[in-house]
Amino acid sequence: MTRLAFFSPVPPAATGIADYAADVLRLLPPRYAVDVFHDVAAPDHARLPSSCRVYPHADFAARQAERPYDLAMYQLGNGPAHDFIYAPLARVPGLLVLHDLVLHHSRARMFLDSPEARAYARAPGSGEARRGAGAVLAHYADEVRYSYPAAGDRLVMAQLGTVGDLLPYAYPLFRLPVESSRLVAVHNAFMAAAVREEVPGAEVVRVPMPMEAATVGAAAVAALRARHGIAAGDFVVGTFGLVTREKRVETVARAVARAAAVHPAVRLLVVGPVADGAALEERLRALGVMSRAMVTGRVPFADLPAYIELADAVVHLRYPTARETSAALLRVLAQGRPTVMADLENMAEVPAGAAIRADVSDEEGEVTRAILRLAASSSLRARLGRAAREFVAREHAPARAAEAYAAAIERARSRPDPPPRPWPSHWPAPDRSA
Amino acid sequence: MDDHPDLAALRARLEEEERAYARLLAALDGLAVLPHSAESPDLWQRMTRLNELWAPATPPPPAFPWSSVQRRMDARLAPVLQRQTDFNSTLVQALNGHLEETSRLHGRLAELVSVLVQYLQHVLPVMDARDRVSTALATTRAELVLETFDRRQESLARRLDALLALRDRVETLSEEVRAIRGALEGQVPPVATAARAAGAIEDARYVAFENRFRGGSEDLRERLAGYVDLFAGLAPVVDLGCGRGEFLELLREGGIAGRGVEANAQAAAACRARGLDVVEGDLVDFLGRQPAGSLGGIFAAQVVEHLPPAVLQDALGAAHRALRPGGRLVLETVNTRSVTGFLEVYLRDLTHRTPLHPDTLRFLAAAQGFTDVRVETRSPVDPAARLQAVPAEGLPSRAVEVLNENAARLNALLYGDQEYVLIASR
Repeated sequence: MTRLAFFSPVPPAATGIADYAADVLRLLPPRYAVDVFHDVAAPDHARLPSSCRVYPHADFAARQAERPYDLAMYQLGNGPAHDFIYAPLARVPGLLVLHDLVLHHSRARMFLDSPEARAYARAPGSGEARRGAGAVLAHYADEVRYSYPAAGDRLVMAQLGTVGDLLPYAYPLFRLPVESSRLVAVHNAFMAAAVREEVPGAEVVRVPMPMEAATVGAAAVAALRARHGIAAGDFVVGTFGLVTREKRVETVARAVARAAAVHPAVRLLVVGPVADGAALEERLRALGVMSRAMVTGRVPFADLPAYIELADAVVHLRYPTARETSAALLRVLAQGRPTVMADLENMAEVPAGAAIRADVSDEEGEVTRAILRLAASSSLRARLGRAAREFVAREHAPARAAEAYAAAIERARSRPDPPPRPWPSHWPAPDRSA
Repeated sequence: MDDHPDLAALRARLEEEERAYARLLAALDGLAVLPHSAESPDLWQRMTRLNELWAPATPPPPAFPWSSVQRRMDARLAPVLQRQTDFNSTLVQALNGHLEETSRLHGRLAELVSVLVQYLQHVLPVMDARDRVSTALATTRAELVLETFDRRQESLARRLDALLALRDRVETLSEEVRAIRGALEGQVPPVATAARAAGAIEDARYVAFENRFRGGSEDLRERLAGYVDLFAGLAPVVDLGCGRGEFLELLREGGIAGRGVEANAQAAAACRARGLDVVEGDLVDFLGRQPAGSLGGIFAAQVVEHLPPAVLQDALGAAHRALRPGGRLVLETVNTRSVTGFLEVYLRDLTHRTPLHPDTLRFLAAAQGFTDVRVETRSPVDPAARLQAVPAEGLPSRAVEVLNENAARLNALLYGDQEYVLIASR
């Protein structure tokens, strides 16, 4: 049986990719024997299939030396939960599942947020601190220069001297992981095209993100409505997922406030972990929507579908975006919720009739008008919900994802390791011994 | 893009300035250790000695107290000695005072130097903090600019995708047209066929116009869905100017028998192709042909404003005749009382003939014998487009009241609902 080394964040890591990994791991057996290598202190074994063996990533080298795996797979995204993946990815080329096109933030943080770099940031005038951070800063600079030879020096200088985070979105920094892999799998056409354009010759395939609707009883939804004091005529606008700046909850709140001027029964439901709940509530209060808002914080994963169906409509915004295919969006579409989504190139696969698209140049206005349209028309909500459910069932069926994964795995196995290139000296060299 | 031409020079100058600053600070640190002259041990010993010696020693007892010479000498020397004593006292007091003042000034000077050194030591952190704030502001500005452009780019990219899809569709249609033309080449169609083709082209243009400015069928269905309940139990219902048949479909879904009249041949044919009962023709003629009292309801959305006044009155009269007692007339049109409605909706359509004030339409309906005539407005303007209320803070309450009253009046005039519906009974 083909043996896979599966590197990924796993539950309870605070990233949606951990949930995704749990879903994918259920699709691989029994065709593949999977060893999972992770970086969490205590994996949630209940979320992982019992057929998989689960190890700390530090165990990989010994296991690989003892009996090399047939293929290593890497679930890589733009977050700190993926830091441990870079080294094995470079040493043992395999199948790279690239969740985010933009990796720059997390990769830069591995260098720029090191103790030496922090000391330098605290004392930028100190020659001693500057020299102390020199090595890690040079590594970062080398990677940027390698990926963007024309802009490297200026980009490094700007990154060190400024405080914004938009610039890295224009310089996604995925070249090294892509060049070090046999095959790259992505979830949307935009990312596939972007990878091929920046790394000519890269082998890229698309795999659907597995998603399916959960069965939710009407009683569960009714209980939630009662718990949150939602009246019969209220129109609940929900937003789901880890509350970060990119989710634009404030924009949604502004749109709800505007819509409420016409439709006073509109309410706002915010479901997902919130880093600073007090600050969020203060913002909602300042926007005049706190009285119509429900902020749940993190809810148990098993309860999420009921919360999704609690919403009469869902708003899913992302800006800036790392160009990921959003599992959170697919989840609400799978549950048949009428959804307003940011009109992004990386989400072009969602059919026109399956969601209302909000032009990102006027998100607030677009969302306001969409909320009013949805609140006024139960038939529109029903049509959108039906089309959304059908889209996910058709395109993201777990069986279809399993087939695509199997095809990608076999293709990656059949391909040679990538040829060596003049990578930066600190980038780990491939292990040719296996 | 190249670097800022002065960037390298600016960075070199910064490093030089930092070195000069470090030298200056080191020099100041050296100056901060002031030798305290007032604390010199020699000086204080001398002053102690001086304070002991300033007074003349007590004169020894006279050796010859009976001597007149001795008495005269003592008498003559006494003033001199007193003067010397006074001089010594004054001098020593002056020296003591001077020394105290010097000591106090030295203390102040030491404090001043200490504060000065602290001040200079804080200059760099302050400059650094200012530099960070300045950098943050500059970055924030750059991020705002970048975000604006990035959002525009994303928006344009999505529109470009749609345009490219449209281009493909146009190219396909062009090929079809070329093929049809090729097949027809050299053959002159019969006059009646050519006339029908010309009419179809004209109709198609208006359908395209409606698609562009009134939205697609789905949008229209949403807007019209609320009217279905007005005709519950009133079948049969006629939809005058039924267009693409959205309302007839809604009636059908609601279990209400409906029939449409449409002057646009292409639209009428499309309706019939979907199984809807639609007659191609003029609405006044159609109504005139209906037996009196044969209809339960008559509906017309965005139609009456296309009719010249005389035709409109004929149509209302024919509608009154065709409806049975208790039947209902529902007419939706542009709200010309709203400046936005008039400018943005009414004027946009070149085929509009008569701007209808709600009071005018109400009067015309009542004049034809309709009862229970009422008007309801629809399609509110986006609240964000309206004039905003003035916040109460910081302004006299009366001024706020007047300003907000004026804003409300202007809002009603400029941004009133863009459509209205007249509902009347036979």
